Amino acid sequence: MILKLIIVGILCALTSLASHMGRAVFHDGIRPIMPEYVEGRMKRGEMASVAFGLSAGFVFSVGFAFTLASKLLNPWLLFLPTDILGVISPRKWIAAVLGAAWGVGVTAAFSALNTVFSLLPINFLNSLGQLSSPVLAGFALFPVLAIFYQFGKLRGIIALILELIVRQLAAMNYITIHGTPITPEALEMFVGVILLVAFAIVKDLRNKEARTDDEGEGLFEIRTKRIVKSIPLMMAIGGLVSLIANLQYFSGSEVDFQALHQIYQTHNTSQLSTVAFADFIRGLAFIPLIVTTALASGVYGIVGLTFVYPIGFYVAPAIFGEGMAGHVAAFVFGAIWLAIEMFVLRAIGKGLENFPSLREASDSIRNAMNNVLEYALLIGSALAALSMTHSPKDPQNFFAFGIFVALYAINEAIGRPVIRLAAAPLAAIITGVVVNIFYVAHLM
Amino acid sequence: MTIRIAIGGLKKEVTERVTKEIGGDKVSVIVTSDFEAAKKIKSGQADYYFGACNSGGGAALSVPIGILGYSNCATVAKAGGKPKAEDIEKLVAGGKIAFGMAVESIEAAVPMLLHSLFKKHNLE
Repeated sequence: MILKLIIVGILCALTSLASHMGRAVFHDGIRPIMPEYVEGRMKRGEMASVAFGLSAGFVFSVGFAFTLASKLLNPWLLFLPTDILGVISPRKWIAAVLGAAWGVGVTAAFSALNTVFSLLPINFLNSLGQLSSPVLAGFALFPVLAIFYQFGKLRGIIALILELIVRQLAAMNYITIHGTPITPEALEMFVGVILLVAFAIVKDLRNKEARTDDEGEGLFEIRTKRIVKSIPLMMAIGGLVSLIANLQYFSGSEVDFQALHQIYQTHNTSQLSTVAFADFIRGLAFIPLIVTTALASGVYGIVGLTFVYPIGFYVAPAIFGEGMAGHVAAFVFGAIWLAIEMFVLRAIGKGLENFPSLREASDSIRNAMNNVLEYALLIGSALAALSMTHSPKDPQNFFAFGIFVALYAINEAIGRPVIRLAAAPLAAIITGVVVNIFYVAHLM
Repeated sequence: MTIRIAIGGLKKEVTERVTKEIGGDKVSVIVTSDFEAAKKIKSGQADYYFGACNSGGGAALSVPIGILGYSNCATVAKAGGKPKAEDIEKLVAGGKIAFGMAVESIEAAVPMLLHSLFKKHNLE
């Protein structure tokens, strides 16, 4: 626990410092505004209020809900606040101190909260495990949805049928890698993504002449120098992020948090490669957005292109095992990887210019991913709530489920103060607390 | 005249549907990526940008801000809040050309945006 507090404290001190110095922020919306502030056109106070306005809702909804549901820290919880703290601080050391204080405080608070939850008479944390069950299976079909969005019904249906056939061939062990079975979901996603990219490239090659001017090119030139200057600091941050992922303290994305939680609880690592693959694909979908905004603003993403997550929780232990060697490898790989990313940033930006459909595909993927996750998390959370009071012994007891549905509907009715992605897990957690209150009050 | 609107960001299909429903023949719509859309505005091929993302100010606007400048862009609906018609009208009247909104507010914010734009361009 002490080790965890120290590492998270140092990491948050550094991310806060990176934000203060205008080197990197986590929020994609703050990045393009940073030059206004760094180059002196916007006052500190105004920048801070913009940063707070964009981020606060996410910290309280996604950040809190995902960490409560998975017991794992996440970037919305750690890095959105350090974006803000860095901007607010008038001095470097203040930024570092505030960042460290946030990291240590929030880690300790959530660990205490988890202890309290596990002491409750009706343990709903086990029920929350249900949350993750449908997520990966549903998620694996997101490329199909993305193809429907971008390329219409015909190609969508073809992709769907192909994916399902390939999936079943893998599930029945007809398709293997030298005799080793492949997780059906991983192969399903892989085939879907290949199809999506192929459709996009074919479309771009067909309308080659549609290229507009080189507006982006000049834009990229301006602030690239700052990116290069940031590399040493960003290597330290990348290494530490990879390390806390490796130490099983951290889940990086909305794709991996439930699955990683499940894997760490059961110590059944067979799904780890699928989760890493899902995170990898998610990372690909964010490349155009992060690369363009980073090149345009000179401010990088605090976790880079997010590949440091799977490097930490999958690549390092897969090569160097789960002991000390794995931890060291996670840090070193994470640091080196982030430096590589920053060196090739310009090249990626230029490459993307030639393939506008790929950029559009990344929109479609993020769109599809969001929709699929919304459904999967809603159904998973509903199952979790259902299992809190409904059991074979008590088949007519839908008390918890009723509360869950009401909470979710109330959020919708009052204009969704909690965004949909986080609303379902949060409703499931509150349901667990309510059920316990009723139990203690002898109303159950 | 018709107002030419370039649509980017997430849930483009929803933004497109609502824009066409409300805008009718007063608007022409180009659905594209944030990057292409911003370039189109800069080169005069489109008048306004609508884009959505989860927060309303992140992915939706970050590329337009980079290309068109921060002072031309505004978030009209943040995640966790309801868009307000008066605020949107002020932004439109103040000359903003790229608008970001949370995906969950598209159906509320786009009609407000369009009505403000029609007012500004005397189309109502």
